[in-house]
Amino acid sequence: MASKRKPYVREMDANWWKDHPFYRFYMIREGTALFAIWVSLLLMCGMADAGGILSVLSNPLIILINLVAFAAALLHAKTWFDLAPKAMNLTEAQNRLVIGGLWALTLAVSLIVLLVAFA
Amino acid sequence: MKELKRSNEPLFWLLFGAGGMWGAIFAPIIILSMLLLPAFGVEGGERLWRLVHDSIFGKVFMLAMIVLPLWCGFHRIHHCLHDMKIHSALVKPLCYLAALALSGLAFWAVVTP
Amino acid sequence: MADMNKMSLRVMRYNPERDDAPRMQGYDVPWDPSTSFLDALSYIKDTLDPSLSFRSSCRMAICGSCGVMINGVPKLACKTFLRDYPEGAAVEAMANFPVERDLVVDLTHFLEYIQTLKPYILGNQRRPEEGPNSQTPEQLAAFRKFSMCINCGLCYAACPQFGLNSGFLGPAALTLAQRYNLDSRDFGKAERMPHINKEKGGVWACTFVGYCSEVCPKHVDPASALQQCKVESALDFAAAVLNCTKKKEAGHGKQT
Repeated sequence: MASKRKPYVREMDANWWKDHPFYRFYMIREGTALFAIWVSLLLMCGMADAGGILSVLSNPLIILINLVAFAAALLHAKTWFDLAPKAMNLTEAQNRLVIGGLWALTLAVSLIVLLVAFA
Repeated sequence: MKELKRSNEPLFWLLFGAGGMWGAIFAPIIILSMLLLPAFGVEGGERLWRLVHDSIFGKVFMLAMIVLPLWCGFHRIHHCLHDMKIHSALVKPLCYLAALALSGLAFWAVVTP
Repeated sequence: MADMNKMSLRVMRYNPERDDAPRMQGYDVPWDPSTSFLDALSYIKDTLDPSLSFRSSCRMAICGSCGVMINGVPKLACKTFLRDYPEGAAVEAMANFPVERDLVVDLTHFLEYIQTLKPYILGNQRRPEEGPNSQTPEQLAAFRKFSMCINCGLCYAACPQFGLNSGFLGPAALTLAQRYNLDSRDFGKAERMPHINKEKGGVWACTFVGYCSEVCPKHVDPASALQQCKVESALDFAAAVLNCTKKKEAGHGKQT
């Protein structure tokens, strides 16, 4: 007897992530990469042309993009620190310790940079 | 055993990991102090730019600060394009070649005085 | 039952002998705070529409049979309650799997991938007369969380990478592989690694979306297991590269 089976495959759209909050946040998380690349390009320009970069940075459009890039960098840091310890086989308590440690390191590094800049 | 061909992804994943970690730790303060503060004429930011140009340590730091996030970023773009159902075999080589080319450019930008 | 409140549910129907594609059908179901979605589906089948097909068995979140999408979220029907959906809800077959009929999906890929990764103790030569193969609490803790999987498949329904590429071994199967790789009694890692490492469908198809861990009814955290698989695979990659250069050097030595 011939099979009556006819499994129906629901193909995923290219925009499958749009209507689901968890997937949307995933795409935003991955999207921070665009701003990371932007920052690298800008820093590269600054290293190539020391004088020119300062006038570029005060362009209102560049300021706006850099503000978004700053927010993206913070989001990247938050999501990265939350997920990084998962690559190790840790208990919940150890997990929290690692995340706290990474934030402490970031804070320390940031203070050092500010000290170098202003002290 | 073609079915079990080993993936070369570990190489790119390690660069992604290094770039992601470096960016998470350094990017916020570097964006704030070197890209945003100078725009408002704060003297400290301009001082940092002078320092990274004039010291070996500053140059090496800037090279890492530019190159590592590039590898993280293009790795994510490569996978994001797959997520958006752009499955061309060109995506992967193009993404990592872009990262490689920009890394070379960054090296040039950092070493030329 | 007659004086109970009714809730409107929309349920996915698909009859492979008649339908070209699945459709949604509405049912009004009586409910109280203790009514689960599995109770509701059973009520529909018993009193409204005996043709409705769905899988279930234990009614207590241990058999892993009754996975469905509730308002687009992968859930066990027996562990999800109508009281949490006062506006009504849509019940669909688990995403990313082919629909066989109504809420019944074809789990073949998932089951084959579990077999592929040999989730059982391998290469242990210990004989019964040597007594039990005891472990320290630490050795047990290393893998215990990953051993809680009930093979319900919700993580596959949550995984866009499996949806985009059904060749991906996927969250639960790779988690089981890591669970045995972490077990001090097991010596089968070398047999599992080639599948974990492979270009087509190995662990590297994972982009750490993380939704698998969010929907897991047993809090197994497959996303974490897969990250650990990646670390293992990266170490395996490095070892292979080192071995390869060593072999080449040895080969040159013989020639000269």
